[in-house]
Amino acid sequence: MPVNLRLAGWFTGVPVVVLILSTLSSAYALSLLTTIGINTIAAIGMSLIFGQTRQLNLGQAAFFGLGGYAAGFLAVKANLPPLAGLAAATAVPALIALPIGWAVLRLSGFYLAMATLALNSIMFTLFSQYEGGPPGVTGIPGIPPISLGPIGFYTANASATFIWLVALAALAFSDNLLNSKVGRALRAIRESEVAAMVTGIPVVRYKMIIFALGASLSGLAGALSAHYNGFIGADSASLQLSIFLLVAVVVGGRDSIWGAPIGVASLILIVEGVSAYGRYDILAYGVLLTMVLILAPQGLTGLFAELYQKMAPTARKTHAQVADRH
Amino acid sequence: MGSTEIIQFTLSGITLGSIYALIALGFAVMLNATGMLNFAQGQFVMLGGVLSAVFVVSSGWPIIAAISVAIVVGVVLNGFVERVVLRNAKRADRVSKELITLGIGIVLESLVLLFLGADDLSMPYFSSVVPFRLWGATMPSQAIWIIGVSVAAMTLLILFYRHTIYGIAMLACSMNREAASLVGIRPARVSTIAFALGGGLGVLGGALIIPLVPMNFSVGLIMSLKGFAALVIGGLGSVTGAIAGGLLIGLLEAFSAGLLSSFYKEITPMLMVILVLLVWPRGLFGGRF
Repeated sequence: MPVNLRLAGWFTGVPVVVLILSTLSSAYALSLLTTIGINTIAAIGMSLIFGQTRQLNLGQAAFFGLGGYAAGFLAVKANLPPLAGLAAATAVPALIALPIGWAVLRLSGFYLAMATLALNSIMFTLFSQYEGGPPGVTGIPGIPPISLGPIGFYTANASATFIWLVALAALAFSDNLLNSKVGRALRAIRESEVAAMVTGIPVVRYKMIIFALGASLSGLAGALSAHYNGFIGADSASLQLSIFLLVAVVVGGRDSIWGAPIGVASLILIVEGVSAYGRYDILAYGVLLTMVLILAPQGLTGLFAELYQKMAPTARKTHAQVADRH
Repeated sequence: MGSTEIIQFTLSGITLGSIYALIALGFAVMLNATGMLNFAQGQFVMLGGVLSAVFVVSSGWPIIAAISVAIVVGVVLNGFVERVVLRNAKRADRVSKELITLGIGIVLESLVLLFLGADDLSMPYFSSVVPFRLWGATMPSQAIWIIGVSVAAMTLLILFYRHTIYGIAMLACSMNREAASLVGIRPARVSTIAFALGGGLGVLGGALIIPLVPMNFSVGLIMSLKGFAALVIGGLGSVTGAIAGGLLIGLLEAFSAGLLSSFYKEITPMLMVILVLLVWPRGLFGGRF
């Protein structure tokens, strides 16, 4: 997409989203949209490290939990304003991710998966022991709603709007990042690490930065979730959430950052849809993950792109598709 | 800490560790032959446990028949996964194939949940419930079965690798698939056999442990986690390393549960994994075989 069209899209899209979220009256739809927004932010992080760079991270929820607990702890125990909590929730996961990335990202692909899996298991066990409120209750209750200085986002409409503004900012940031030198380097690493290294790309450094950036986004999402729900518990760091984020990125499409919101929204809507019939939600996940990877590994955004190509054969190919076809 | 306690912790560590070693061996066998991790391995352990329990408790089958049928199910199912599902995922690279196995694990988990429910299942010990006494420590009779059968399975596996044509073909594939196919080995068939073998090992582990540790549909991921931990500590791809890693994880768990608390039992093996990855990433027994 040419730059002016892209900007025009942002300038119309963002006000439309704000307008819809600030006027929507259905509490159910609002809570669903807010959940999608929060998970989208974490999934963007997953899309950067797994989708764009193809490094298997099985511990994205560990960072989500870290962010949530950091924000909850600072707000409830230290009585600091939510902004301090959001800052800590973004910084702490990156500070944990960097040394781990430094150690394992220079090794073969298996090791990041192993290390993040171990980290996720450790964080979940630690969090399930922590009693931040009345004794006997794990987790941190009583976290205030988000506010920026004097501006508070106390109503459901306000918090949904704020969370989606953050999600859109994360999307815009990642979209720009991927259209820069960094994005080209990441795609080169995805295609072949050896080839990327030979062309002078500092492969390990890029992988570390993007792993830490993805962890930060997940931590930010965790903090937003803690403020939105007023509570953070060990489930926020469950392995199930890590797998959910991974499946969302695969279903939405690994090669595009837009796969994150589309995948998260589809998965959450599917789970909402089937949960009325009993516990078919896990089955739906498993079947979806397996079928998408076998039949359409490019995911939903990839399918849209192919469809667009067929309908408009002369349309300019996006850089991602050119890269995919070598 | 008295000497009785040390013996007690060591015995229970070796018991648990034997199971972890079986899980890690399953991972290692498939990793060596195909170059990928099968993330559904833990779910095969769970399947082995719950299938045996259902056959014994609900259907009233003799234990040996129940376990044999469960192993056949595991062998056929995992062979099917490799031969039909993974072989047809032609556009998938290694990571995608690993994610497909993750999806298969989730499907298995949900099928067990839908058909057998969410309750913990268990079954009686293989033989008398009278515990053994050993140098002042007590040991359930099932632990003897676990250690005995695991040692037998490991010995058979090592003999398989050293002395049978398929075992040697599998080692050849782990070194270089192209070169192996040049000397007449079919890497595709070796992969199917490795998956079948891995599925069988997982099911055996589950069937052995379920009399001591009741299981439900959700334990698969935890089982995979222990197997991974053993694999990393032993060194990816090493068969003897997987056995040593499994025993080490079992001992670590038993001693941290006994000396500290059950909370540390979950944490210490994972801290060990991170430590090994930071300091000695090729594993304590790094290298091949």
